[in-house]
Amino acid sequence: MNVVYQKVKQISYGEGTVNMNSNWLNLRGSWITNVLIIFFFRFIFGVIPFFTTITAWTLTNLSYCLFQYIMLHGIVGTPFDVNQGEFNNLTMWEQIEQGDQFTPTKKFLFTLPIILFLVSTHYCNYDITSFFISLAAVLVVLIAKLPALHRVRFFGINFRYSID
Amino acid sequence: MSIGTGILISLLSAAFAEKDNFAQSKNDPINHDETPKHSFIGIGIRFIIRYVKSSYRDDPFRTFLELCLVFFIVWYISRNKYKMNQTDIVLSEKDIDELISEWKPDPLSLELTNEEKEVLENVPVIDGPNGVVVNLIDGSKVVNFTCFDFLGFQTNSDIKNKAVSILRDYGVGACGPTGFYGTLDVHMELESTIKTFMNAEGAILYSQGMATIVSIIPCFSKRNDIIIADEKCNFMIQQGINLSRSKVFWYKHNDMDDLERVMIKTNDIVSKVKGPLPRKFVITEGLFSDTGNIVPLDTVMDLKNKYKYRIILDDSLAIGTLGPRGAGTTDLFGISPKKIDLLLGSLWQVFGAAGGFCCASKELISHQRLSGAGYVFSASMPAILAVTADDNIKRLEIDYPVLLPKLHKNVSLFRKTISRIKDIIVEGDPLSPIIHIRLSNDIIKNYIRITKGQDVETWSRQEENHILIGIVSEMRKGGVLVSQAIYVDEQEHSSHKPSIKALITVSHTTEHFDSFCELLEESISRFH
Repeated sequence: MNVVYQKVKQISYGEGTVNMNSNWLNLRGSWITNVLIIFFFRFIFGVIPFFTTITAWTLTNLSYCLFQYIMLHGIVGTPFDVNQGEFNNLTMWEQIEQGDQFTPTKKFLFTLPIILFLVSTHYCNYDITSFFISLAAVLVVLIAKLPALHRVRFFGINFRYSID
Repeated sequence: MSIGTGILISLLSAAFAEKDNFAQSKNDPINHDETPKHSFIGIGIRFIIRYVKSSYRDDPFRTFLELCLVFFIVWYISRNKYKMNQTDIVLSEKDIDELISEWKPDPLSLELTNEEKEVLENVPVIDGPNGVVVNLIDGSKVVNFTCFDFLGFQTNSDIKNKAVSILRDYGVGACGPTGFYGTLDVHMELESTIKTFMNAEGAILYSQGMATIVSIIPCFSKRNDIIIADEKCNFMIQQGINLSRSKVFWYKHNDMDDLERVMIKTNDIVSKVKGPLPRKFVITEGLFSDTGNIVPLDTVMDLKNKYKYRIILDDSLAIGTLGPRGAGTTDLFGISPKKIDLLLGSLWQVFGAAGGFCCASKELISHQRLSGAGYVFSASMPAILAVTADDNIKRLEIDYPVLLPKLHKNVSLFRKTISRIKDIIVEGDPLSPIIHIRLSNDIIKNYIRITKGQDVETWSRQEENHILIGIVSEMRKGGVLVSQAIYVDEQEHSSHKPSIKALITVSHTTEHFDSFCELLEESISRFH
């Protein structure tokens, strides 16, 4: 078995299945929450003493990327029994809209880290170290979202053995 | 560059707002430069210009990276939505018309083959009540070896009288599913009778015999769960397994070494599974209706406990025929029914009523009452059948010291009588009242040589079945009603060898067995 590149098998084409695990991401409220979370991170890192603006913005960027990674690409499966386990081996990102690509929600979640990155590097005064740290974090989150990598697993990360 | 960035920003706002001005702003970028200074886009453009100027800082490489990211956004946002694994093919009107004109619908069913016609034509119709000696529609009187009434409850006059009085009280049908005003007091009484008789924690009643196992397996075993089943399990179990969409592994019929091998292999697979663990089931019949063998339940229980499986035991035929008390395979092996996760029985065979039941723990019973398709969606059993089943179980509880030895005596007597016939193979356990009789290879070869005039080494199932149909119809003319075992061949998991299936009941006598053997011997002797 190839360990570097594996693909999660499509079990069935769940047309019309309601996936409670990912449905809420399509709500405008959850979009706004994403923005609020960024402000929250910035506020927290801003009020901690001895943190410079550069540190605070870099940490905000890293925290948001980590937050997205855990929420959208880190946790596999659903807490609910949806369509007899159709989504059990998929990450949240792959579950959104049953895997349809380029939906408004996906466009929003794709754009947000990039904008945050541009803003944060701007406020960091283009400090080179901070720039590349942030860039690495953003790229990881972006690459995981690419349509070409739908259901693709590298190095067995998030790969789950399926009985089917 | 500033114009380019302006386009990007307008694209961004257009994509998010999903408004109609998307196309306009894309085709007509100069407009934005001419917009009033206080407009949103004008401010945006000036902001962007300032941003790019201040961020450049003699670092073209970094600015290039940032611009790449911006283009990345634009690329992502400008793409249209599409579905993964889309297989739709776009056809033109002409193609569609062509395809429609070419299409010829298949018939819903194919024309019957000769063998199928033969089977259909030879279905006997019984005139009057079923029993050991029955009248056929053509007026002949025959001895019945095809009735599941092993303990002779069906012809009992006490039970008939009780049933008539119940019919006057309760009417005929229950007219409602169990959860929807279809549950009567007699159903609850029957459930508690079954619970006491089987010595189980709880019992649930199904109004349809075949639907019992077909609905119980999918009720508990879902996709991503694992089933290990005996390859000779009956057709209902196979249907249940199919409906459950679980992963199924088959083991050789009653072969405990093979069962252990499959269990070890399956546990290996399960150890690789991360996330929610699959449920694992072993499914077997107590007394196999397709072979007449009895499962070595003690070994199965040891293995199940050793490798941590749950067991679903279909004891439909064994309950009422096996064990000192007649309580089935668990009784025979002295295992408490409480240790079996799901124990199934039927009421339409030995107990002469209809439907089936399942004994399990209270939680499993409650789960079935809410999500067992066969329980929830079918009308509940007519009161007359429930009371009959209840009476028959109570009768067995009292009369088992008389009935069961008599049944087993009859079975061994039949086996002894039939053993004098050469060239046949009698299958099954010595205790089993279901006896499958097969022809030896020599007989079949002889038959084919006589009819076709050529020596063959192999022959098809159809040919063998054809011989059996001939024997069965000849025996019927002689006054004995038996049947060849009938399967839906193309849907069965493993192919069964064609056989004649004889069911032995307490009501049969030595004369019946003698006439059976004489007729069988006579029809076979022509092939020598």
